[in-house]
Parts: sequence; structure tokens; C-alpha cells
Amino acid sequence: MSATAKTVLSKNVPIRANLILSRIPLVVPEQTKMEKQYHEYQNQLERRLMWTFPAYHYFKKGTLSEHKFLSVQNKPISKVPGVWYPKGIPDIQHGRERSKVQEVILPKSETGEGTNLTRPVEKNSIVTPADESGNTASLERRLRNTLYLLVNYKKTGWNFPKFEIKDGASLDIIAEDGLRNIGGENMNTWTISKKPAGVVKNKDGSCDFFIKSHILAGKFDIAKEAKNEIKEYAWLTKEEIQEKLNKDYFNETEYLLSK
Amino acid sequence: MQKRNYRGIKRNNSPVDIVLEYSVSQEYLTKMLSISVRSCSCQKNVVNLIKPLNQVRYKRTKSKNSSGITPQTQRIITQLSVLSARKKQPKMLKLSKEDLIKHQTIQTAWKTYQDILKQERQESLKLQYNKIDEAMNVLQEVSPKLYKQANVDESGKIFPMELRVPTDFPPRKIWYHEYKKQ
Repeated sequence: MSATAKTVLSKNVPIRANLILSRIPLVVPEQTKMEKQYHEYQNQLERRLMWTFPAYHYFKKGTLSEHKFLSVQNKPISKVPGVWYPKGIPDIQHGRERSKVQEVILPKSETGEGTNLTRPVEKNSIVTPADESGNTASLERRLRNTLYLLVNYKKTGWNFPKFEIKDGASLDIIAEDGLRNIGGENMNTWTISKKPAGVVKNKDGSCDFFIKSHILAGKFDIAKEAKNEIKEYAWLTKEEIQEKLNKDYFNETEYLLSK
Repeated sequence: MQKRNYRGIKRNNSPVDIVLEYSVSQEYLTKMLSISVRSCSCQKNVVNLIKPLNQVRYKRTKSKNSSGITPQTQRIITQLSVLSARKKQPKMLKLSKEDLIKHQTIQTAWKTYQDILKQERQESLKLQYNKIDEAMNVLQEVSPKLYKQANVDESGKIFPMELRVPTDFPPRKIWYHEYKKQ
């Protein structure tokens, strides 16, 4: 703290607790091209250096399951005397060419559907209906990004939820209670710390302290009592917040937000 | 009358039994035997005649070598061979000079990339720490009471179980909307 700032602050300035309520990403961030290529390279190296799969341990000799398994494997080229091999003389141990990657293929069931092990994995779409319709009030949007709750105050416009301090309550409790007053009780949140993560000193002398919290379940719905105060709310990413907030205010709070 | 062998099973194989089947008295039998023993030049033949034929030879089912290994032992041998590197290791990877340089370049590039990411993260964390420090100093100035409430030891606080770890693809039910206050 600089000496000049100390003189400006007095003990009777209005203090507000702001809540930065975030929904953490549900899906890991997209890999860059370099990351993809590097992981592919490492994967191939690892497979090349892997030990041979001991099929004799998993399939008893002479059984039907052993036959099914062996019949779908790709057979390596075997060594025949008097033949010239341009890619090196075959060196086969336990049915595997030692100088190559071993590909273990699991047999499919006769119906073609596959067992629990061999059926194809159904991947859910990362782009959700909320993304397609552009519904910013939904928590099920932009699954790769962290979303933050922004509310549109009728007086001051878009901002993080703000709460005036009450007597006897700490900043985090003021923020949590205030959130439930404007957004309903049916939310499960987890406050990271009692300590504020940042402060913005306004020109009128008031101080905005920021408390960070995560939403774990439930949804934010504007309560009846708060409807004359708040127009709408939105769950936005950092980039979208930049468009909504004024430039100076965003620059001061940017470090609190992650992608 | 019937005569039983040492196992208590009725004997039918030897000629003696056949004779007995015809209910010839014992006295007569011993008499006959003694005559035959006397008349025979070799007593051994008579003993062989009485002894039952009870040894049968079957086809061999086990080879001479594996006769000592039980299925249990064989299983343990297989299990141990799964853990052993023998016959399972691939050929050593021999890179040419050019390939080696390529490999080293890839590794260096990756390390550099990771260093950049790490540095960015460190800077971000440092900034956040400084901002917390600043906020606490301001709070101490403007409201000592709130500062006292905020400045408590929170060590041992853990992440809640409900906080989901990001995955490669979203779950079937993306968000639990129906949460009710307990």
C-alpha cells in the first residue's frame, strides 16, 4: 500500500461485496495442433516399445475363445529360408513381429453389435442446444470455458452481483446470502475463501470487494423480490464479459477471470 | 461253498474257483491238489495257476516329460511368464542420425512450450496473490471488523465432492438443475 492511498481511505466509506460466481468447465480445453501432434507421436513411440500382449494368459489353449481371438489378429510375415526381405528379416515371438507395433484386435460378437468391451464409444456433443439457440441464461453452454454470473441492474447495467454490507456478517456470508436473496435458495455453491480476491476503489470513495465462489448444482432464477431491481442475468465467458462491462472496470477485474 | 479272496471279492477267474463252483468238497480238493503237486515236477506252476490275473495295461495318456507338472504348477508358470520380459520385449529402437535429431527437436520444442505455459501460470498466480494482499490491506484500512472476520486460518479446507473434474466429453446429464436446498 502506498502512502497516498492510505490518506484517501477513511473508515466510513461504503463497502460492497461482489460475488464472482463461476461454473467451472465441464469439458477439457481443446488441444492445440502442436499438442495433438506431440501426443500422437508419443503414443506411437509407446506402442512401438510395448511388450508383446500375452494372449496365452487370457485365452486357454485349445478353447473356442482362443480361436476367436487368434482368427481376427493380423498375422505377421513369417521367415522362410532363401527369401529376401527388403524391410528386414522377420523376427516373430508369440505371434508378434518384434520390430513393429503390435495391434491387438478384440473379436466382435456374432451378431455384430459387439460386447461391452468392443462396442463403439458414443460421444456426447460438446455443442449443446443452448449454444445453438444462443441462450446465455443457461448453465449448459460453452462447456469448454469457465462461465461467470453477470446480472443486468436496472440502474447501473451489467455487472457482477453486488451486495451492501450488513452488521456482523463477514464478506463471504454477505455475498452468499445476497446471492440467495436475488437468485433463489435452490443453488449449491462453494465459496473458495473468506478473504476477498480483489478490490476496486471507485471514484466516489466506495470499495468493491470480490469474493470468489463456484456453483456446483441448481440454478439461478431471479427471485420475485429482486425483479424490480434486476432486469436479466447471464452466464458468460471472459470474452463475452469484456463486451458487457465498461473497459476500465473490465481491466481492473480481468485477472480474476480465467478462460 | 464259496471261497473269497483277501479283498472279500468272489473269485471266478482261477480254475480253482471253477472247481469250487461245482460244489466239490474241500477235502476232495486238497486231496486232488496234493496229488497234482506230487505228480507235477515243478511246484511253481501250480502256484501260478491259483494266483488271480489282476494286472491290466492301458494306453499311456501322459508323456514322460510333463508327468511331473500338475495343472496348478503350469498355471503358476504361465502367470510368472506374463510378468517376465523374456520373449516379450520388442526390438531395440535404433534411430538414424537424422531421426535422432528430429526426435530431439520435438522434445525441445515441447519443453519450451511447457515452460511458456508454466511461466504464464506463475505470472497469473503471482498477480492474483498480490491482488489478494492489496484487497486485505484496503479492508484493514476501511473496516477492521471485516478484516478480522476475513483474516482467519482456513487451512484444511477441501474441495467439495460435487465439484466435477472436466472430462474429454460431456456427461449425458450436463447439469443438475433440480437441486433443492437441504
